[in-house]
Amino acid sequence: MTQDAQQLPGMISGGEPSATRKFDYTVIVWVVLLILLIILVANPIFQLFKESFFVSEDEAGGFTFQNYIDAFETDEYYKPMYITMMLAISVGSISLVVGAVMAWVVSRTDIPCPNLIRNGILASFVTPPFLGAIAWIFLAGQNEGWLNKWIRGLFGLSEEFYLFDIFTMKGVVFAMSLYSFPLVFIVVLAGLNNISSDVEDAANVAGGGTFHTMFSITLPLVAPSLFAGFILAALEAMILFGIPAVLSIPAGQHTMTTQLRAFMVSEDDLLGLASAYAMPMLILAIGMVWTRGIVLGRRGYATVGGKGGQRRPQKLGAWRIPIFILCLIPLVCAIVLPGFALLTTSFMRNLGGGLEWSNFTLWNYHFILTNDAVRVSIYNTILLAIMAATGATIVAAVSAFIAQRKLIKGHQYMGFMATAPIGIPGIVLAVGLFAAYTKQPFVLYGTLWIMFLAYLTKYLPLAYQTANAGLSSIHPELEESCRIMGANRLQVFKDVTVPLFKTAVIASWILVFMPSLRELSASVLLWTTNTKVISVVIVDFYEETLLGPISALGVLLLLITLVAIVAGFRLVGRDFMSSSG
Amino acid sequence: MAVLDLKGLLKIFGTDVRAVDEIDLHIEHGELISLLGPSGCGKTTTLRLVAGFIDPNAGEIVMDGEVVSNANSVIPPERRNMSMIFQSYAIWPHKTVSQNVGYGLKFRGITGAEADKRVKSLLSVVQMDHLGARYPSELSGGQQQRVALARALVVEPAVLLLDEPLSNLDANLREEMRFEIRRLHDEFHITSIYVTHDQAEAMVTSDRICVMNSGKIEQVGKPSDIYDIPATKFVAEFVGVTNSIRGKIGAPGLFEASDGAKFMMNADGGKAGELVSIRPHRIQVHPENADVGGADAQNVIDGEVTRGYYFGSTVDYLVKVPGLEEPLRVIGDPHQFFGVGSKVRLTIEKAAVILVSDS
Repeated sequence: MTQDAQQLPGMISGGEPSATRKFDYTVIVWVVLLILLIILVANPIFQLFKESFFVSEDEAGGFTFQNYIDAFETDEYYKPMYITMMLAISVGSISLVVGAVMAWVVSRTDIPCPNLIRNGILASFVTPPFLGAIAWIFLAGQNEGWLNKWIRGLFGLSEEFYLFDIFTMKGVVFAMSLYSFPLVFIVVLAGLNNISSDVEDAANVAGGGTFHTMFSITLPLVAPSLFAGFILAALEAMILFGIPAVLSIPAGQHTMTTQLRAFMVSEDDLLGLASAYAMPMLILAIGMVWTRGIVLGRRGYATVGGKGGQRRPQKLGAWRIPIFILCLIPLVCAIVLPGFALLTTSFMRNLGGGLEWSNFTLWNYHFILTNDAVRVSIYNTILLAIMAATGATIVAAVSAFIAQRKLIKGHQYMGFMATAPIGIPGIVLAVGLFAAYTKQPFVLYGTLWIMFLAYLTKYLPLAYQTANAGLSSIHPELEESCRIMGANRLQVFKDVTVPLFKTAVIASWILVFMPSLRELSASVLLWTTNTKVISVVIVDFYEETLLGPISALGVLLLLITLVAIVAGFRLVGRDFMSSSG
Repeated sequence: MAVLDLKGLLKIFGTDVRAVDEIDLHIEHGELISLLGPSGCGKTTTLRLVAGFIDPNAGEIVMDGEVVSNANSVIPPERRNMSMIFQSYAIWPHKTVSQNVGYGLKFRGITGAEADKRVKSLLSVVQMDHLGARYPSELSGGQQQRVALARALVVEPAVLLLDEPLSNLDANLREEMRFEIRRLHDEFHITSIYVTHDQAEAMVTSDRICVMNSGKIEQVGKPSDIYDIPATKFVAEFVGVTNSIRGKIGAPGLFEASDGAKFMMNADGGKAGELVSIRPHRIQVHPENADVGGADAQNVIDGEVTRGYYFGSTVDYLVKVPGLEEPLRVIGDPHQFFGVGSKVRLTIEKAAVILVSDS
């Protein structure tokens, strides 16, 4: 401290101001970022594009449209596209209705325990969808499903009777909707919370009843959020790999994602075909994300009034309890039942054996903890999640800092670059990375690095948005006041910027760490024997019908996620999961 | 304390926005000068140039004879021994009141008991001594403002910069803090630059006011000079309200309005001009045909009230007079109220008719 002081009293004494112009870091920063962007996004997408115009076995054959013709003319390949579109629309619509109604109930009515519902929905958001789907096999399988057995027992019905069958397209839509509606909920809740009750009160005063107000005022104001929510849910349904892999392949139906994987694991080299097949998904997904951005971008009018003003909850009256119970159903289906099913099956010797002591075993846990492949996958999963979270957070924090503080020329493009990968479906990204980094001079396939690249790319936009939101809440004058008091740039960074930015950085790290733990759609194309992760092992075991160990592994995965969430709450506060919007 | 000189200071944003357009300004030891102007006039940019947060494109800033900024080199803010009070207060939310106030001392070699003593004494100057352990989120807006003042003053800066420090406070508190800032200045006599768009704030706090518009200085002077003898139409209209009358000088001491009315004024060394400014409160209102004395020493004009708003302490009239297309705005005494349609006699001292340049 005294050293600092010694440098400073010389302040306004010595003649000419030092003529040292600061070294221009602009070039270095841009070169580093551009290289990163080329490695992560540009090269994989370019290679994907290039491969789609070559027949794989015969690259010498040169440019061709054959891949596209094969992909779109063959009935077998065309059908999954149709199914995927139907899935996206159904799941989007169901999620929209369920998510929006629940958001309205939580935000605007006197429902009991709104926080229970809100937190429950956030919890279902972090449950890996493929685990949920597997759990629902235990619950709603045709013959052995517990719910079917229970109903048979209740009404004394025959063994052939069943009420639920998860291995149908309806089952797939159901399972996908369970894990997509939270997206709608979060977006619509944010939209609703931005509308002050005053606008609604004004409509009441002007003579509009509750019903009229809801349709003529509230609904139009949240329309952008509703649209954005629908897009998010439909997109999620389109790019999801886990649920179709678990439920629709046994039903004999491919979706686009599972078909893509089928191409990639085929004995023949079908990289060109896969690339062409991935194109409509890529274009559609990016188009959807952009549309959502445009719609949400001009919702300026929805934030008028801000969070000011007391919110006056609508009275539900006699409907209060029935609506509350109705709201619990999606949560029970998404978390409570699957969690219960996984936990109990993980301790069962025989899955059909029921809840009896004679059926109790620790074998499943013993199996996963002694199985070498599983142990390697646990190690890989945690290592990759830490690497991805750290990498994405560093890149995001640095570029958000540069953008917000306008540190270099062209800072306004920083946000665009860091969020460039937004919308690229994980599985498409994986095909691109495979195309780019399996051949000389960059052979990353077979190492953890290629998976690291996939995770980093996939979650960078999320990390950037979190870091950026956190940083934008730090007023630049807080740093300037520190400068003028006598601190140099480094001391300002240490004394003000870091302490205030820390929370957003931790939130960003955890928000990348959690989904990285369960990443499946990219990993499933990029893994090799030594680079398996937990999610891939689960899908593997599923194909070998090792359901007990899956449950144990699922419980383990949920435990690790839980630890991360608890750490997040402790370090950041309870709002950290919704902070990224 | 310090003497500041801004010489030909130029700051261009983008390619052609001349935010600060070659201004010259001299600020004396211990003087509080305010930069007054509408938003976008360049006042905040000027302040940030003085602080060293931005680099000038041309010109220089000289502090006690030493160049601290010119187009080639800029001494960074932390080496200027200045303090600044920001519009947002910029109180660090993760530090207590005492830590906020004491932060700058360590860079000046003051630590331990001595630092504590100074922090305590400054907190008592701003009447915050009982709140040293609080965090900023537990303080009201006015209290945060006081912390910002204490933090800026505790380091005994050579120059104090204030960037619209009161604009986030409510009306009552703003009035109170104006006097507080003036009181602290009278106590510490630190050379200060005060940026504001509020003329009342500038009047109360400043030794001199520098009125700025479109990056240029319109006028610099004591508050009373700015108000009573505005140099330009802009100053006359921005600081207070006025009647601007267009015309030409007929003979020395006589201004002829374009529409025919004539106004006597003090002959001003043959100064030319096409515009005069008459403050509404410099016009007296009398009943019709009242005996108001010699018509050679003052302007006497008969007119008719077209509007009269009662404000309690004053009445705001519009009076239609012959030879002027626009009615005159007049601030009158409420104890003698003239209704709409009343015939009145107006008198205007010669000294109240001010020739201003049309900028």
